[in-house]
Amino acid sequence: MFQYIVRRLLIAIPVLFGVTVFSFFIVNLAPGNPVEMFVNPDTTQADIELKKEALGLNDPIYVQYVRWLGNLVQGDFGYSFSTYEPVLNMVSSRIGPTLLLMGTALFVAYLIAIPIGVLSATKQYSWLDYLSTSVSFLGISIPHFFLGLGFIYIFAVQMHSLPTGGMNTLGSEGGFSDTFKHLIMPAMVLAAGIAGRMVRYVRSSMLDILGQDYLRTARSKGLREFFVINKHGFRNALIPIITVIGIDVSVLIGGAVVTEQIFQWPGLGQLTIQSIGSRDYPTLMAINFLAAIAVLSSNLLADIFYSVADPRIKYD
Amino acid sequence: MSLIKSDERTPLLEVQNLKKYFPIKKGIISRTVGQVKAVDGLNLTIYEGETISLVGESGCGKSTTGRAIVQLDPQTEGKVIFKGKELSTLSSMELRKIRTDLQIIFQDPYSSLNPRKRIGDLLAEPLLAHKLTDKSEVSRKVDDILEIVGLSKFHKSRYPHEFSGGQRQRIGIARALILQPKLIVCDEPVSALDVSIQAQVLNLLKDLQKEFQLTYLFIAHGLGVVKYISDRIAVMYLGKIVELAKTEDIFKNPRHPYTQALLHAYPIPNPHLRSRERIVMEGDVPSPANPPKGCSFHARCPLAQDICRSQAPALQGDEHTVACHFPLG
Amino acid sequence: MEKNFLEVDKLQTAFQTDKGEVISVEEVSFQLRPGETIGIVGESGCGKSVTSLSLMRLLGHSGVIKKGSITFNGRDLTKATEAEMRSIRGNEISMIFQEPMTSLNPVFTVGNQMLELINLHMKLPAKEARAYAVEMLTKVGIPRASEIIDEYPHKLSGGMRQRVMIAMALSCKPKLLIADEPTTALDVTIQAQILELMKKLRDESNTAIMIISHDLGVIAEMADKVIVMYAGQVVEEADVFTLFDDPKHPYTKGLMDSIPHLEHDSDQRLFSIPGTVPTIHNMPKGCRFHTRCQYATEKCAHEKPPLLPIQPESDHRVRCWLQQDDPHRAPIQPRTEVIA
Repeated sequence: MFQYIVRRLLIAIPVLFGVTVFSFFIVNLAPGNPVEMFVNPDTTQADIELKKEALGLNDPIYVQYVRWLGNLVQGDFGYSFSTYEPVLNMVSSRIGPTLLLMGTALFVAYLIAIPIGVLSATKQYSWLDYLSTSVSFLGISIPHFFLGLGFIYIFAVQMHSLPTGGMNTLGSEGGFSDTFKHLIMPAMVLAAGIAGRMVRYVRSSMLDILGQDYLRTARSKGLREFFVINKHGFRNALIPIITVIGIDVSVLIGGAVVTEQIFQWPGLGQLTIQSIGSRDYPTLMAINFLAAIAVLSSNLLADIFYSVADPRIKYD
Repeated sequence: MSLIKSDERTPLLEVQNLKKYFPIKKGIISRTVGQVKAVDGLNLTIYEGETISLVGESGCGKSTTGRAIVQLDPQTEGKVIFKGKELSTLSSMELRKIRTDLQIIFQDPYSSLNPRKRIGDLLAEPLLAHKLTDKSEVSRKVDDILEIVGLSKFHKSRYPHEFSGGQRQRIGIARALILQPKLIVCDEPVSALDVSIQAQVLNLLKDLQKEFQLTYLFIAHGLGVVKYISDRIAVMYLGKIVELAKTEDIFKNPRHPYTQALLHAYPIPNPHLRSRERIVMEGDVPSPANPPKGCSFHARCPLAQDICRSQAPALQGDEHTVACHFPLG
Repeated sequence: MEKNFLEVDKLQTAFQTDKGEVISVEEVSFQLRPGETIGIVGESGCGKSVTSLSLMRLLGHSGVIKKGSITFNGRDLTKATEAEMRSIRGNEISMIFQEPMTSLNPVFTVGNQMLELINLHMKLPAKEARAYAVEMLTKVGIPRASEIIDEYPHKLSGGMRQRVMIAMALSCKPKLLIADEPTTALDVTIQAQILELMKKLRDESNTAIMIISHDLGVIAEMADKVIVMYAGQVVEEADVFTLFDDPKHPYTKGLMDSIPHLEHDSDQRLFSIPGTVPTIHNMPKGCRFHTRCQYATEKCAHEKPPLLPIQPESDHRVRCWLQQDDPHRAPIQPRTEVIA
């Protein structure tokens, strides 16, 4: 197991390197450059050139990349082109809200989806099954921005029960209940897709398990159906589901960008949109790098949990 | 006398020192740390027109041998010589040609038939693949073969799932037979079938052998079935042949303790014989990844002596060969 | 002689399918005494497994016992509540299955699965329960039982897993052990070990066994009396010696002639029953075997034969018009069935 983890971590290094190369060039290929974002009618061409020189934008792109990589290896993410703050500070102040949002969404999604999926499988072809599969299909297919705007219209504009956006009420001291109120809508939007997919995974995984011989053995021992399904059945159904959790993290990252923007949630997703707007290369690169690490490590974690859940799987 | 007889027979296929190892991988860079020796030095001569059976418990390497002989899973080491040609040296073109003579039938006829193809197309497939005939001829051959295996023309437009297990095995046989092969490897062809259907398929295989001068390598674990179909029997244990003899000799005069134990273990459908004296062999088959030293059977053998634990016995004898330091009888 | 503790009377089990209700077991009756072994033999789809699952009332959502009774220790199991059934399953009637490789849950240890049952029915303190589980494993011939108990099933061979299943099934000292093709998936040498073990444990504990198999050899080794089933019906029943010495039903005879015996000459052609087993949606009228029977007459194609004793008071019963139209036979009293 230890060997396996070491091997996976070693493989992660070239993958991360590839991700940085790829994203660095993509980011730089985008039309426009950071300096143009500051241009106003009074700026002279000389000012622009001076600025470009100062930011190192006149160097060939590979020189810029090597410089960026060299700094990264020393733990230096550089300074933002737009706010001149250290990128590390900007990013770290945004991580908390994003983790809160993604964690809540994931938690709520699984909390709802897993029992529904199990029920849906055990009562296959019942009205409950039809209802849950159709609702989950809606959850998967409605885009985040549409669901987000719909929620804002219903809960904030019409019912005035929830705030339209942000993380805390402006001018207030914040606090748990205030943050919670702000969290509800974005978390629900983000959870909808994850839950929809999860219901379908749990349902089909459970359906595979329900015909297994060991469930018949469990019943023949005189166990209650509740334990047969939830102990013997679900533990086995969990195994394929764990792999999905790894994938869900990348879905969440993508979803967070849109959702945070809609709800003005002060997280990394919102920062991403802002940095793209201002061609803030160092910040964008840092976020990309973090996202790549998150995806890689969640996949590794999923694989580790996989072997914990299934004793037949031994990595070595 | 028996020696002269065996010289008269023409060998159709010869297996020389066949080995098939599967690597066990471990560690950060997936080093190969061991080998599962599925088949470990097997010699066998199959004569034209005979049925020779490989029997043994699961994991003894009998199916692996069959698959290596038809080059589905080529061997790690050793030679398979068919009609004077060594198969592993042939180009893929030559191998394709020779495959028309070498066919295989599997245990589970359902999983070896493409569920989305009609029977007619499934049967025509090998003909077209080997570019043997034109369209009307293909259709005629398919009709013929269906009749030969006891099915009808109208079955051509049906799909595999519409057939019962026995009928599917007939289709499997038809598909192997349509290229008019010389040798058919039958890998547990009746194990998945009901008793009453087993008899039908076994009779069919026997009839076909007579009609088309087929040679069978029959792989099975049911001793009754093997007795009924075979001329000679090779008993395998842990990747090696431990005894090889004519069918009646194996049953009347088993010389390897393992063969005897297999015969004793076989349940006889006669309640009056239930309290017969017999040896029930203890323990499981050892892992082929880590076979015991010396004779691989010594751990389960009631007759094992010191020499069995240190030296592997070689196959000895002319017509009735046995690999044992202390053969019975 | 001990009294019957189990009496199955005219059991009929049906399943709901897309194509409507199908009767998968038409009419099964038998009795069992403690320590007795009954063998049920037949080909796939003959209803032998459904019979055993009916006894356990484990027929799933779609299966239902339509008619008949199962009297177990004076109680009719067809009328028992689900809670009563749960206290019987694994406790008074237990079961082992064909596939030892898939019958144990792969994600729980052997001990976990055994203790689950022991705790459910025996309510022993934790330490004693574990010691008892180890004792049971040792009893069924598992070496290093105190270590094996903490292993996961995939570490064990098929034969070892079937031993674990037997240890588990016998933990609560059941009155009846149902063994549904217990050795079909195993090699012959392991099959011999398992059958020997079952015989030994039966003789020690006086547990009755119902063994279901398609293999006449296994039945001949194990059973005291035998039921032969074909297409959901009992076609013949007798004590094991009578059945093998003097089979009456053409199907039983055909079955016996179609297995290649070790003592047969291989030049002898195998007898084979023509045709295939009818599917449940497509049962022949009259005698269900008449489509494959070489002795079938006009009557067989139209009228259902009843299951009747070959002699009055005989325990050898057969469902065949040939037997019943035999002029040399003494007049017979219908015992188990009214002619439909």
